[in-house]
Amino acid sequence: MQRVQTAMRRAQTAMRWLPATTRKLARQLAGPWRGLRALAGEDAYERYLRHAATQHPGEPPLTRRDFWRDAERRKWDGVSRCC
Amino acid sequence: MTRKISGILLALAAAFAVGGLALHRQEPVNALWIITAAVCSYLLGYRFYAAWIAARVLMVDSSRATPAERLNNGRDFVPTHRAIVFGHHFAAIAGPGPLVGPTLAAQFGYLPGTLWILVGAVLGGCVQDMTILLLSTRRDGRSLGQMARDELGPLGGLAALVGTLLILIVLCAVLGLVVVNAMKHSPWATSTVAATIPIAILVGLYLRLWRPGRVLEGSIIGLALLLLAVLGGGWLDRQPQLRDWFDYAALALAGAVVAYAWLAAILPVWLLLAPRDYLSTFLKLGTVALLAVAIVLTHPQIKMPALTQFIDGSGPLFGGKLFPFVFITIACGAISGFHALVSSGTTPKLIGNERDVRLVGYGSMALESFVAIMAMIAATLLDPGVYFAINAGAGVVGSTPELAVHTISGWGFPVTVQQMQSLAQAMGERTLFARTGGAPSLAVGMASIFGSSFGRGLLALWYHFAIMFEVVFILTTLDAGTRVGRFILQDLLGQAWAPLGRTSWYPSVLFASTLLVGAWGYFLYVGVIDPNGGVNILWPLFGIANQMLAAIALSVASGILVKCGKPRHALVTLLPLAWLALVTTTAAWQKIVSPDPHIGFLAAAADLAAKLAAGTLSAERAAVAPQLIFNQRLDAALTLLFTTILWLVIVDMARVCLRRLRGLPLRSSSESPYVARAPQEAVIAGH
Repeated sequence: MQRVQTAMRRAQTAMRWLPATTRKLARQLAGPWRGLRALAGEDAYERYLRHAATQHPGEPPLTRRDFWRDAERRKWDGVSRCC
Repeated sequence: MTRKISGILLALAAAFAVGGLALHRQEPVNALWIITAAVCSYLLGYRFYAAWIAARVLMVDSSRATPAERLNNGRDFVPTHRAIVFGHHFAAIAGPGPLVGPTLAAQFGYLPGTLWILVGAVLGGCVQDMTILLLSTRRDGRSLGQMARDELGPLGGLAALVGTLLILIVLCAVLGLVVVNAMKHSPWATSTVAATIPIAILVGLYLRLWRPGRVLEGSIIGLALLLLAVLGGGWLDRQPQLRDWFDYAALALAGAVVAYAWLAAILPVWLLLAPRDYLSTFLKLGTVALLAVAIVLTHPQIKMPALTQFIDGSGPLFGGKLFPFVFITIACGAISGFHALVSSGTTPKLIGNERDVRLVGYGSMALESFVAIMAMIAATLLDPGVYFAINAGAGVVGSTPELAVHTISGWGFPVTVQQMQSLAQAMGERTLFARTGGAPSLAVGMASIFGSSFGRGLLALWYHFAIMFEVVFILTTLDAGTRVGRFILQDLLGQAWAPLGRTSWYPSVLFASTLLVGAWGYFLYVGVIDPNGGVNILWPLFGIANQMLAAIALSVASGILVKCGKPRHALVTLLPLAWLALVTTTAAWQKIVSPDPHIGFLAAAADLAAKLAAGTLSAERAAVAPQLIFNQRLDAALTLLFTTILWLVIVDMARVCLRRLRGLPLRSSSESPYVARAPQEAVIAGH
């Protein structure tokens, strides 16, 4: 959770150095980009971290690497593709 | 009020378009008519029928907590926005089936297949997917096999398991055959497909070692490399020394496909299967969207007649009359039993609100059906003569180009050798004759659509892009199917000897994978040596198997609805079930006992045996005849087995329903008890 927050703070600091129009464009693209990431399932780990922080505070969450290994195993243990 | 008016307008537009299609018999029809009829039918079905089923039959209750909310663990049970679940579910159900089936069924003309795709999806396939999705959501995401066991009994459960295993074997064989026929003697296609393997492995390593979980980055890199591979294949095709390295006959390619699938089954999923799946998903969504835009932009004329003379059963792609064979040839796209496995697996664990099942279940299937409609358009915009020259096996039309065009022109579909040669040249191929399986003719259709909207000079590139697109996700289905089949086989073997059931014990993995790949590899091998193309045998077998699985799913759904005290409402699943039982049983009956060797397996075996004994076969054909005779008999036995499983499940379902109607004791419902959704959880869920 903390790592995510640090990363977001850093991104915000970096944004300040960009010209105003680019910042506006970045803000406008943020929504579609989030949608695309969600559609690709790329935000699964961030969602898991939020869940772990609110539901199981105090327990150390899985690392990104371990989370993805587990996700991949679960996905391909059942029928996830069709003819 | 506006809802009512828009509904009436929609109904009028649908009636106008469908009526226009049905009555437009003398002049050529534009593809836009078909697109309009399709879109209006789906919207009508979604607005009225699906809404009615959700409210009155399934009693969708948005106050009820879904398993994603109750069991939320941040990993597999995660309440997810319905648009995202829609995307995931559509990507999971959309496979090569709706591309191949309509292409083959176009031999009857464009009308029968189109009408079945629309009616079958709106009243059958979409209803099946939505119903199974809701029933599984109400049962914490249990699989179809588990639901069959819980609600009907052990017989239903076992039938679902064995049925799934058998359909996987036939599916992998027929898809393997489609891939082989697309690549034979085509160095461009073969080298491009070969390049997809190292590209997938590279993306796999990227997502595992360097940037775990950065799916978009990995996929963008992979897609760029895939496009380079298409270009590279074209370059390689022009190098006389290099092209020989990738110029193979069908038998060698079949061996390569089997070896590849065996390796993919025993390698860890992250190395090959998972990255290939990301690539094929993006490729699939992108190409389908591009095709829709291109069809609307070019609005091509349909050149195939509405009905051809082959509705009498003498079709060159596969034998059999319009009824029942169009209904089993197009399974995916109208109704596909396989979807019930996906709707009762991963998807229910993501549903954040019960009312989302209409969009996710009904809506995804409607979109898949639309893909089938586009495949039908791509097949029927070709000159019919060209369509038959590409899709008919050499054993049917003759083994030389001159013989083939003579036969096909004799049917009233004029085509010349020069026409086929210049077409092959434009597509960057040496020949397009007898490329059975549907993929090459679909690629020619897609290339002409893309070519006329985005650049005519690039036809060969578009053709090979389309081939790469089809092959990449056929191979994904092949890999995933082999893996799922392995799990089911291990499950069954584990009942004989427990260690064989351990899915992570390597000797068992090797044994079960080899057994499974061997089983479908056998059918693939026979398909390749069959001079009639093999697809004419394997595709009907696959269609019968897939409709059998749909009938199992609909039986489970009907049984549950009757048990819930809704015998009249159960008609929404019982009527499609009755139709499927009728067409599947009729088709199976004809495939087994028809005296016409063009249709019946046993008649074909007897016919070939007689010719072999009389010595009238050429040496080449006589060499493979004993294997073909054995295989036809095996296919007859398999068809009989499918039909038996189908009726066992239907009888089991009828037994459960009768007991319920007479008030006799029954297995208790496996539905999870009602839990109201917590208001604060709803806030967390909306992300």
